[in-house]
Amino acid sequence: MFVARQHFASLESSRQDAVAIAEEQDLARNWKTRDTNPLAAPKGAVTDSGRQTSAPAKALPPELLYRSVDESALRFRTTVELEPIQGMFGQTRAKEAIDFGTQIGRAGFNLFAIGPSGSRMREALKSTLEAVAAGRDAPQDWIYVHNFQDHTKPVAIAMPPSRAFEFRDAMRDLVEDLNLALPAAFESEDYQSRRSRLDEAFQKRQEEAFDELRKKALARSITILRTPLGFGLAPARDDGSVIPPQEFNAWPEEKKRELQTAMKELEKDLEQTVRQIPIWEKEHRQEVRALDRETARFAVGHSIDELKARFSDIARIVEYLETVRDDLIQNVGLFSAREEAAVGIAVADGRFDRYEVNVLVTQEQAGKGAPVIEEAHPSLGNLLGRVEYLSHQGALVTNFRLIKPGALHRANGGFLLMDARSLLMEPFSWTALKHSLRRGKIVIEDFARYAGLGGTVTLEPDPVPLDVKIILHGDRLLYHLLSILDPDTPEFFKVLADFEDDVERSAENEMLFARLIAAFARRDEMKPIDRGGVARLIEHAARSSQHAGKLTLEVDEIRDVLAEAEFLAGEARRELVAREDVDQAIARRIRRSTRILDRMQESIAEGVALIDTEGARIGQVNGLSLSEFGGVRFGRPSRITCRTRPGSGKLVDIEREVELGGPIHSKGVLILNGFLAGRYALEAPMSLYASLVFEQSYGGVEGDSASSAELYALLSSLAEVPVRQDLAVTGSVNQHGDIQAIGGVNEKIEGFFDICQQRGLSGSQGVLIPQANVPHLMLRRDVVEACADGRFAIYPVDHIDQGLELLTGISAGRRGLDKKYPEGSVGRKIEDRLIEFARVRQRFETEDEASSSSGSKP
Amino acid sequence: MTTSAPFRRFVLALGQPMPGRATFDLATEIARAMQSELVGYYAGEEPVKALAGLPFARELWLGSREWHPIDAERLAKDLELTIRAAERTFSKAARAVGHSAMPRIHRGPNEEAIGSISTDDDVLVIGQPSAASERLVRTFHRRLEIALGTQSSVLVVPARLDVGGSTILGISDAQDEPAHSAAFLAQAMGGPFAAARSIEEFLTRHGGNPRLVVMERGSIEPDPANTAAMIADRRHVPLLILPPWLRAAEAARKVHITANADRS
Repeated sequence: MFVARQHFASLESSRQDAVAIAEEQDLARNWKTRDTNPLAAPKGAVTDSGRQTSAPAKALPPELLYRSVDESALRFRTTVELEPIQGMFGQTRAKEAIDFGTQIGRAGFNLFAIGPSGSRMREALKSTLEAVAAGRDAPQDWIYVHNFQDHTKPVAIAMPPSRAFEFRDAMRDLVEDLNLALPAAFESEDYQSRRSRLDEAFQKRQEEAFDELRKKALARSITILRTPLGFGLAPARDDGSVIPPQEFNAWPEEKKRELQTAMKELEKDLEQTVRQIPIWEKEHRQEVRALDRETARFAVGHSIDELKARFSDIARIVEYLETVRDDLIQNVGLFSAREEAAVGIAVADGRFDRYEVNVLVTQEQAGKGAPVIEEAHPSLGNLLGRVEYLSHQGALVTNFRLIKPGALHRANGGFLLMDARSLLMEPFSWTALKHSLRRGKIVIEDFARYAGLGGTVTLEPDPVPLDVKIILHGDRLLYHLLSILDPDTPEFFKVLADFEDDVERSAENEMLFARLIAAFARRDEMKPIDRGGVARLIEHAARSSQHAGKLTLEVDEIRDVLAEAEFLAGEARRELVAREDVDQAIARRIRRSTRILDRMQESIAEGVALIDTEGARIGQVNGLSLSEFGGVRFGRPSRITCRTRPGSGKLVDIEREVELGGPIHSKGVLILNGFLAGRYALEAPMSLYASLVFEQSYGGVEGDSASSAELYALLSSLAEVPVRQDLAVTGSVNQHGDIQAIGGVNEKIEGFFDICQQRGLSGSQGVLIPQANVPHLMLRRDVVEACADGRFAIYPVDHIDQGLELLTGISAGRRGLDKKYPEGSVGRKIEDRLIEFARVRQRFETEDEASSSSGSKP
Repeated sequence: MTTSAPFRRFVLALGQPMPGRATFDLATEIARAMQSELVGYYAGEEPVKALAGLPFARELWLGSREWHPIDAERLAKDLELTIRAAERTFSKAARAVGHSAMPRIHRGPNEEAIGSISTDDDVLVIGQPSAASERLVRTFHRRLEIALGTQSSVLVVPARLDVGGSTILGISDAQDEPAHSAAFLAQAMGGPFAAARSIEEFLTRHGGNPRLVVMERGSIEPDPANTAAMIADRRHVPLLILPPWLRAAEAARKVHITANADRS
């Protein structure tokens, strides 16, 4: 059975090729008569999708291939006469969202602006935010000061706007004043005499005890000696010198015993006295400390009270100054170790750092109104702030003065603008931002803590209350992915500002676009652009939007083209940027980025990549594909072929079989099966085996824009009717045979045009495009001119029959009252062929059954 | 023209108790400025060794405040260790101020022996021990008495220094020796010089303690040791006490010549 089927397939293939050669010759003769073909379906007939069949496809007139700007409506000579456009253009929906998002003060109503990358969202947001912020009150200043109770937890204090530096300077003055006043207080006669009294009393007390002990010892002819480790008692002469051992040994035993007894008594007294010394010392230290504190309290009191009065409107500062007073009194020793020469620069040696003020955020140097901060690098530290460290003798040390503000601190009370992608790329930044918004405060935490790693002992600064409006901007995919993957997103970003990709191309909008171009020229200090130049840029904007009736709002590219055109005008020593400069700029940009396209076209010209642009072939169609490299798109023809034979009703997409086809492409191919079965296999089961392939395609194929071309190839193969090779086809198709719109129509047409032009335009060449794509046409000037001259043609089709008739020169046919397609029509040929396949299949199945029955007999 | 310093040697009195660190620092600093030699004199071994020879000798250790028998061999080792420690402290202080010659330490049997080795152009440095317990044995007083009984100058360094500036103060009624010496020292040590009739007068004028007070022994008679100790205790300022023989005219000439030589 397997061998028989293989043989059949081989025979079928040979027959198909033979028929193709014969019919190609007929078709070639009849090209010019296609519009009068008697077999073509009558106008107004009903297709199997239930709608009216279209009239035979006619080439589009040149005016539908490119929509030029009506320059008479542009009432200016150069952009100098135009008022540059302010704010956002064509973004009504997004503007409403931004206005709402910036006004509402509720938690969670932060803004997420999405849109195409070149739409200048960031600039539009920033200028809008700055305008809103200018009308708001400036937020508070924030300072960090030393926590005298726990130095690891610096204290955050809010201050009225622009007063942080005033307080910092006041504290510096205080320290400088005290650096003079405190030592003076301790050197004063009053202090010195009181201190001397304390010292003398202490010494007197000691001396009395020591004297008593010494006298007691002397009375017993004993002296107290200092040894390396302590004290000892020794027998002494009257002059106090120690009696040498030899002399002592010569003493009578009784005398020795008496001495020993006396020494034992004295030892107790000595021990008692020595034990008493630290107690006296401690008491003395306490008395001195009390005196020092009293002196310090008096010395610092006036200065602190003065400061308190100056900042009496800030309760936290008053509270803090009291802790400063206590600390100064406790640590007055800081001020005593100084040199005369150092007076006035005492703060430089770090002893008084604890009294410094770390101005975290102040509005003093900022403009009026609320802050608008843009954080380009929202790393964790740049967002939340960080604690920096200094290397000191090999160890890392820090203090409250090394706390640095983050973007949230700087934007607090205003707006923080960030690129969503940058934020999400930074480890922990997104999480940290959510935490901060949820808690309503900024907690400075380092990377190690977020990562759950054990870090060094560091500071835990007081959290700062957070009142900020976050504005993220990014592309749509990112936002939607984030919404799916992180359910918290809508909780924190309740306002979506969706920027449009394009705007309707009305006369009014063309004028506004001209003003936008004028704004670019003004802002970037470019030469003025004349009316023709502006018109060409507007036309380019329409082409960029992939729609003749729209203007792209991805204006970054327009700005780049303008910059290049202005450069070219400069090279040509022209004062105005003209249409030709813009034309040349666009052409140069395309040339720079189409090296791959050139290589592809070269391979077609050399016959390496097989593309026919004349003649006709059965089961072979010029499809058009779109390639995109680094943001540059170009079209190219691809040969699509189909082979058919009897089989089990399977339509094989070779791309899919080898896993080069994407899911949308596979879907397009499966739709063909539905169309075929529903239209032609009404009387017999689908008994064909068809294989479809993109010839010489070695990369992935995705999209369904070639599905109509595949269907033409399939129908051609089944009907054994050759297809014109001077035409290329693009468009997707549904199960009813309706042709549907595709993307990149301009690039696809131009891709085939370039190949035809290289080989010489025959006048019969052209491209079949979906009718729905006609409004999208903004073709290159050379293509339009070729069409106008009748050297090339664009055919809009809305149904597969229309295309089939154009490609084959034969009527697709319509079932008559007998339910049959007319004789000679493509439909009839296909149906007949499918019935033939069904019979073959039936015969083979019968033979199979017979052979398996006989084979099973013993 | 002479280049000799007015003080040939600074002899630091060492032993038990040891003077405080400030004594080492100040002595080395002035010695460097005056280009004088540095010498240590460790005295007082004899009585301690005699104590160790007694059959029932014990010592009260200051660290543990417990009594322990004295072992002569261990005591000898402890003495050696103490001397080495003093030598290290002395050398370190000398290095810190950049003194070119490392100090030498001589040993003597008792405190009185320092008198026999001192000369007219020596400065005997007597440092007050910092711990209160050291007053029990009155060694500081004893050393002061001995030093002030010699023909040498004496530098008294209190245990606690309360130095407010870099002024060298000469206590004198006129342009006599203390004033000249103070001027010379001030020039050599790179600080200002002042003359006053008393420390109190200087304090009234300047507010803070001077760095060093230079005075004649005659100004603290009749009990120079006690007076010097009392000033050290009350003012916490170092005193350089010049001997009676250093008469004003002679000193002035000597200082004048030396200062001029240094300036040239």
